[in-house]
Amino acid sequence: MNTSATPYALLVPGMALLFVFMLLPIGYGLWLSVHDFDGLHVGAFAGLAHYREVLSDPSFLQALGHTVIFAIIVVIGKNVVGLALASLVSLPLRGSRAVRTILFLPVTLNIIVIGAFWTFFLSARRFGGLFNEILFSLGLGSLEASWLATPGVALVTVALVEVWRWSGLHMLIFLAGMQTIDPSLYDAARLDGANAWARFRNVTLPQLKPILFVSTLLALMGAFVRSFDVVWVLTRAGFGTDVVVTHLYNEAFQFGRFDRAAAMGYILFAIIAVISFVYVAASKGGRANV
Amino acid sequence: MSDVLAATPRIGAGRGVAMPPLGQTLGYAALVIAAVQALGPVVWIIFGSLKSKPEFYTNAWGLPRAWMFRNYADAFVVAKVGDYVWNSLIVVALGLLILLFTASTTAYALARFKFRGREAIAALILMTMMVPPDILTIPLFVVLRSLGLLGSFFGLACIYAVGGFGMSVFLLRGYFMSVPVELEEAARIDGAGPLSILRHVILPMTLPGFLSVVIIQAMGMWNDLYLAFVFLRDPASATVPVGLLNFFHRESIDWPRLLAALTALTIPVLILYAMFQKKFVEGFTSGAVK
Repeated sequence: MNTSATPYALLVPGMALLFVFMLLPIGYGLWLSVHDFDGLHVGAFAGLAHYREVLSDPSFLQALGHTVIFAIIVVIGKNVVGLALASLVSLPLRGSRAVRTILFLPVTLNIIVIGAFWTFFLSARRFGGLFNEILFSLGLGSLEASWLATPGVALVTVALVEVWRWSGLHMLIFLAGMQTIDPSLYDAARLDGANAWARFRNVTLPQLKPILFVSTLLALMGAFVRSFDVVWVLTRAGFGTDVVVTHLYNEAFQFGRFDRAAAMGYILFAIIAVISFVYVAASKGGRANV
Repeated sequence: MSDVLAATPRIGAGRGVAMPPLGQTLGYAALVIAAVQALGPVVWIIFGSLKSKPEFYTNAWGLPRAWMFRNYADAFVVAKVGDYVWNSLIVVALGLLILLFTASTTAYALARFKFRGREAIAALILMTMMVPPDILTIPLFVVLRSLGLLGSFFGLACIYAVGGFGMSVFLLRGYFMSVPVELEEAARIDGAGPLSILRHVILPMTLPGFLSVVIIQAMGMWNDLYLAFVFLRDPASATVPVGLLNFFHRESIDWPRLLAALTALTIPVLILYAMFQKKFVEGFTSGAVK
């Protein structure tokens, strides 16, 4: 048997898949983005004109701004809620294991289930919206709102639904990290008279730093790139919730400007690459200082 | 790793130290609230799916009074849920087949053979994990159309496979490396080729690992909205999320039937989740924590 050729033969299917559906599209898309392209006919070479058009288009910049706000809420929210839930289900209370299983459940739900529930829950009182009803019965009727149909509010609502949807996953990531912490650190802290909050601040948090890093990167990526479904289902990108990925979709499939949409994909990619790079470099620097 | 759900990290009150009574009470209250908010949407869709239309508008949040099981029959007839399920099953099965074949052969080559370019291939695969198919929407759309695969289940399945490729390769490579080499050598002396060894020696030994890859990837494909929305334009080939999105984004939503359709689709996932919790958790966290 020709063993030296074997590994290469084994690599053929995987590399063929990667080439046709990843590497080729990356290159082809770059080529398309520097030409005029309406989705059917490739026209003249356009250089960086489409990139300039996109970057000077107020509606794109607005979508980019929405994406940044969305990402800030989602990244902070997933980490804070995930950490809080992980700490809660780590308390020595009966039933905390069952609650762990339940808390992960939203991660498995279809986005339409999530969309249907939150749309109805947040709807107006006259349609049966429970949240506004609760506000009203607490005497906070002045706070009643169309949570998913008010510009400025809807984006925050959608981001919070996204936090709700994924916080169970981040809880698990933090739990997995907490299990690797040496318990004697807590015993030592307790001997020093540290209370629960001090133990969390001085032992749990610093020990979880590498996990926090992974969790943040995961959340960043999700917020910038994978936000189409939650936005589209809840608001169809209306009411000030248009983000880059929904903008890209509309640019191509509503307005037929495939060249600009292709350029948007690479601009988005460049933005995530820069943010990830800066974040990785900054947290490495931070670690070196400790 | 597999015991994230079961093992309790010792970060709470710690070994042999009881929580103060007030802390306990607050802790239990928080656990109940956490469980209710995570379970709420599922309970709500189940209750709502059993109400008549008039009842739904007067009693949106309570237990159903008359149990309208007919909503389920209607959902399958009116909303064509059966067709969507069938389409989804085909796409997910195809996607898994393509993914498992390409990822396992690649992982096997990386785990067991020393060859020139191995590090480069591993680095390339790692890099592709940073490029989610979402930002390649436009070029993928054009590539699929050129190949005559636009709107086909096979084309979408290939994109799903590419999306899960990197993560699956690295998970499987880890599992494969834990299989003792001696077992393969015995098979090789008997004249078995690499594919046959992969199939008859490695696969049975690493079945739990395969299962966690299958579960997490199948769930991602089953729940995907965006890629199916873009690449399967024909309503007749809609997958579950796309089909139900059309049902949900109508002018007037038929809530009880929509909720019956959603319940019918959620229950199987819940049963799978109850059966394979550990696999779900393993698949989701192992990538993040390592």
